[in-house]
Amino acid sequence: MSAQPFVPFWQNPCGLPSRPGLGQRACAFFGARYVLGPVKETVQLVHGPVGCGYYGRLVRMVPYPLYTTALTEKEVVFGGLDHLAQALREAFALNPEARGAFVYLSCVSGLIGEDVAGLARLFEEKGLPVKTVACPGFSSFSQAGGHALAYEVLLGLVKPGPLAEEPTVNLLGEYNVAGEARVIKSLLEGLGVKVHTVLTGETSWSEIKTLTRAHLNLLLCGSTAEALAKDLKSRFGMPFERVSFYGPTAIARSLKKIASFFGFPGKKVLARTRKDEDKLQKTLSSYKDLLSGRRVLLLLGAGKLGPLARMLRELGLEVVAVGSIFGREEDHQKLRAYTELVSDNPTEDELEYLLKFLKPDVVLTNARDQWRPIKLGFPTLSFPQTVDRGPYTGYEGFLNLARDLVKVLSAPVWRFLGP
Amino acid sequence: MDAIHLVHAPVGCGYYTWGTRRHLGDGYNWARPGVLENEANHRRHCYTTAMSEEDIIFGGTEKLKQALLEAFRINPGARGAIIYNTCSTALIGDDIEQVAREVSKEVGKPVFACASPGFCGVSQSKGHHEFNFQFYKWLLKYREEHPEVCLKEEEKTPYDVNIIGEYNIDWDEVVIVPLFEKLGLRILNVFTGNARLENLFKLPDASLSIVHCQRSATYIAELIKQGFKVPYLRVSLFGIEQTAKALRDVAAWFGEDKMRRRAEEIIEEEITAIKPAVEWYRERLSGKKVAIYVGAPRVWHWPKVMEELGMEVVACMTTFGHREDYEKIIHRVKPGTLIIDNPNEFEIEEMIETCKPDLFLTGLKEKYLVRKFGVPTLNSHSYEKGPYAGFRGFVNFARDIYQAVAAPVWQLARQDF
Amino acid sequence: MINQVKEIPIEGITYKNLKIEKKPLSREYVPPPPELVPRANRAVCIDPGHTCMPLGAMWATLGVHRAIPFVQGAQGCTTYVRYTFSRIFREPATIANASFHEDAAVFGGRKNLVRGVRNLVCRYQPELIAIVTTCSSEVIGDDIHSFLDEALDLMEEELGPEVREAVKFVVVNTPSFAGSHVEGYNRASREFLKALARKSGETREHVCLIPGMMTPGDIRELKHMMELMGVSHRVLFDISETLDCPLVGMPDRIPYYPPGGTPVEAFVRAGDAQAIFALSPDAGSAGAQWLDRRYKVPAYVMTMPIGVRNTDHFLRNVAEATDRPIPDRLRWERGIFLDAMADTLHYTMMKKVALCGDPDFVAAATWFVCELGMVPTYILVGTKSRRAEEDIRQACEEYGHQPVVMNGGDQFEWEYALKNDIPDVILGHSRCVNIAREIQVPLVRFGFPVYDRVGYQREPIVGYRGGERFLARIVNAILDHQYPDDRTHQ
Repeated sequence: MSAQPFVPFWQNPCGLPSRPGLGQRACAFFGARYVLGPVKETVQLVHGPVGCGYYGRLVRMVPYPLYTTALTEKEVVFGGLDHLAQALREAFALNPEARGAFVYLSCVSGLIGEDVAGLARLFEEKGLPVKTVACPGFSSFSQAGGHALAYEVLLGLVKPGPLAEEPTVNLLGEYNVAGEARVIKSLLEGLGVKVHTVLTGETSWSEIKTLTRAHLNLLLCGSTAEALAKDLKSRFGMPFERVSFYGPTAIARSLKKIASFFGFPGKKVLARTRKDEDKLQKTLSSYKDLLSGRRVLLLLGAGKLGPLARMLRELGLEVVAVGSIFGREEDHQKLRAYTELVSDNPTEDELEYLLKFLKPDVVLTNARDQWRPIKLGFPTLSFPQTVDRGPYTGYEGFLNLARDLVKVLSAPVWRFLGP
Repeated sequence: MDAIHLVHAPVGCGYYTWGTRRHLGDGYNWARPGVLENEANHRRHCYTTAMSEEDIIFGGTEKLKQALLEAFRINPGARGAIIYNTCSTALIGDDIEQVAREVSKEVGKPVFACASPGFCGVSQSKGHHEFNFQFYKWLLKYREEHPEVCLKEEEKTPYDVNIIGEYNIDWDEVVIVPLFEKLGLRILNVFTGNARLENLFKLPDASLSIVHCQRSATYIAELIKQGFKVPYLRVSLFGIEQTAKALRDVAAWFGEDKMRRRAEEIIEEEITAIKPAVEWYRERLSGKKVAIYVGAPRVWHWPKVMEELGMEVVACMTTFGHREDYEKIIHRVKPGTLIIDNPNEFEIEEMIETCKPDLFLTGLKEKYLVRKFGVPTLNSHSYEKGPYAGFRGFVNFARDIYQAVAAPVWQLARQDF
Repeated sequence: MINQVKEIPIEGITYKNLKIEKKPLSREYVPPPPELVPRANRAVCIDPGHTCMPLGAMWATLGVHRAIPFVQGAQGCTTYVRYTFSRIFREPATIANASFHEDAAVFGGRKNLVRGVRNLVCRYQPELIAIVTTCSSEVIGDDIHSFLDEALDLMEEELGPEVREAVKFVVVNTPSFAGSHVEGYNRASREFLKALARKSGETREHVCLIPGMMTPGDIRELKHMMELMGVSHRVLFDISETLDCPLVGMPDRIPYYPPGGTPVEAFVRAGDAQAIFALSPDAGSAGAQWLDRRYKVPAYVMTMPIGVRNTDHFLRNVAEATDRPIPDRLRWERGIFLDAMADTLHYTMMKKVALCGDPDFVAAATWFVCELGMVPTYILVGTKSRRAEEDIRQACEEYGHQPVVMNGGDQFEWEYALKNDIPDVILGHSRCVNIAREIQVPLVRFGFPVYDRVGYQREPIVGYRGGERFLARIVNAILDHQYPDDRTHQ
């Protein structure tokens, strides 16, 4: 490999406010929707001008119902609380199966100081639980603030209750992209462990209320759900384990952890994972020739970066630089094991410089940023992946990732570049 | 419909006849286990010997025989076959009848050889004619050799009828057949729309033939009349008045009061159902001028229909009309109407200039020409969105005429910048 | 049944409420005897992949200004072709016919030709008549050239000597049994140039293009590229101005002729051209090569410019022949095309595709699908063509695919293969609708003939812009068919 060039700017530390005019972060509302969007048995309503509702429908490229008060000038001037109350009543009437509502605040409703919490109490008295998500767009540096707020709201729903009889777990920070929850569930079922609910990829209002049925919380995405795991431990005494199902090494380690928690014999787990791994390696070998030694640049939110970097290394690729959008110091520390070039919230021009200097063979980034590297002629794989590409978790997921990397790398279009 | 149609010719003859005109059917073969094919048997595949230069030089009978045997193996659902020769295979003198006999014996299914070289006769009408005669002749012979295909004496009823000259364009049968069934008749055959070979063998076993297309199929009705004393009745099944007349005529032929009453009931019921719709269109179409250019019989089937919509027929043309067709046309249109036999494009253009019709009922080949001049058209061979026959089909007909005439594009085309 | 419908609204009976029960002819599916599946083992041709020669010659003739094909054969030979053109282009097409009846079969078609040509000249005043023979006239053995001489003599007597100058004649021998419509076009390209092309001695800076059976949209795209190159050009057989014309209202002069088309003069001057390009090797190379041999006009015979490589190749050759640089505008279009390919690679990569159509289209499209990372599985080349097979082999070698190529096979054989190994998408023409429906695979229509959808004759698939449109067509078909609607957001 070539010597790493000196790229001083590509080392922005984490947790800083965004530099105005630059950067790719989203707002707190975006983060809150990211977490709460898929929760079933709910009415979700954003109290803001129409745009927040219009854009907010789509979460990880999948539409989830979202109502909006579509505030107009009149309501901004004279207050929109009546309007909101009316809208909420209508939304409940349209969704008789809903057990509660999430009302998101937007920049506007935050600024004009609407007493949404007061209104929520009134509804609650009438037996219609309404939870306020105080996530005006400006209220945090990035979407990460929204994630935290959302999980706080969810925590408020949890009630103490009896434990389940069979070994049961919850998945925290698992968003069920392209059916990933299904893969994880089947892995756990192989151990004889049941999944009570998947936060928040496959969950509902009532499942969250009875969250405490589970014996153990499995924390999958550290950057979004860690606080929740800790709170559940301190408040309800629920233990948690950090696990990951990205890549065979992580799968084996995670399954061992879970088995030992429930006191299952470790040998059985080992035999199983060995068998699956052998099968995997057979199909993988044809892909590996094409992938090994390829240099990759990663630019994604935060939580997925670590597992992805590990998976890529397992596939024989070399991570040459990583950028997070709302990373935490812990994330960055892990990533420094792969490359010195770890940065938070890089700007687009920084990205372009990096592409120019490093010339990676492939770029992994999110859906809205993928077109820039593509335009500059770099094979690019985007996240979250679409459903046809399949899950990336579990053994089959690892294979899917390898296949997709081969796809982007071997697409004939790149042959036509150049003078 | 359930036969293999094999064209013994260079590839084009088979290619062009492959699933083009909309004479539909309901008999389907299987495409895969559990999946029926996308088109009815007689339209789905094109069987041809695709004669090459070598075959033309050395003769194609051997090839034809082999091809037909293969076709039967590939299409086990087929109940029989019809093989056609064309210009080149007729010119080189391939004996397709001999092949038909041999193969029929070998596979135990009827095979009909139809001599239809393109240069034969002045128009496609000759093909209709030839088919009628040849088919009838073959039919008799086959019935003689295989008496089991005839309708058994004990199964015959006095109410067995054939509908002859109805080709099920865009499912006209769906509106026509029930009308007669409601009269209490049993339809043995529709010659040849959605027809089945086994039924066609029973053509002479009916007690009456009802002839719709009187150019292409009167021949066979006449032959059956001569051979089996089965009389036939000419009817028109387009428009309210003509369809009603057809029902009355048929009921009158049977001479039973019950059936007459039944006919009146059907007419009453049907007219009530479609009246509001027809009125709606009549109101909007009244006074429009229309020119008609189709095969032959429809040109005289339709003037009455146009009148029922309040439209005026200004010109009539046929592709293959005979003397008697023209007599009928003249009988049914107003004096002063322009009538042309087999017009070429030049004559059509002149007709448009002099008669200035608001609508031109014509086929695919001419419609794009007159459209260029801003004249609305309606595909009158295969229809736009059929069925057009009978009472219910009349609403479709009126609807499509209205849609053609009322489209805003003609107005826009007349405006300049 | 409809008669039960009590109220009949003014919409009449719509296809939706016309429900016909499909009745199976046999109890269950019986696969065909395996030995009868390959076309080579069968005498019967089922679902031919091509039609007969005269159509190609008529197609070419209709691209010439005020030219009328005169078909020396039975009436069906004209009627069927007019039907076909009407379906594809939705345009009028004037084609004359010798109206062979029984007497012609017995005594030959002399009288028919002599009288037919005279009638045509008198009533239609064409600038050119192309006499297209058919199987029957060839089997009878009509001596077209002597008939034509006789017709000209008679007309000269009747109409004066200027008639010889006013109307040009081209004879194209197209016995249906000797080849397909592709060969018919190919022969026409040669016969037109043979009959008309001259060398004046003075060099003119222009190139000639023989597009083959491209659509009007394709031809316009070719012209667009040539304009960007700044190359003076003539498209021979330019159907873009005859088979795609505006609605005009009643013209002042009848009979109606389309306003455009390649003028006869362009064929005459072809002998002075800088180069001649045959962009469909199987439909047009004969003309180009003849011109090269006879008048030393360099002939470039190349794969149809579909996809990046083929368009690059075409433009490089134009640049070479005319000594002009490739302008930035074309680089820009190429960049957009590449961008579109990169943007959609997830939808195209590793998708199995089956192709069907005329050799020129299929060979070029095979290059294109390979460039998209698709995997060609079964390729039906409708007309047997060594050149197309070689082209396909080259493309698949470069991209490492091993498709089954059915060179000159019929659709029955190809469909059977598809039923047993279902692809992700089919690239074919309107005759492939049934198989696509039966195996529930999206069909992307292209090539000859597309008659069951509108607008395809106007949308190009050649060049960079056309390639981008073609790509969009392919990807959208896949999206419509394989992606749930909630997963097509980005």
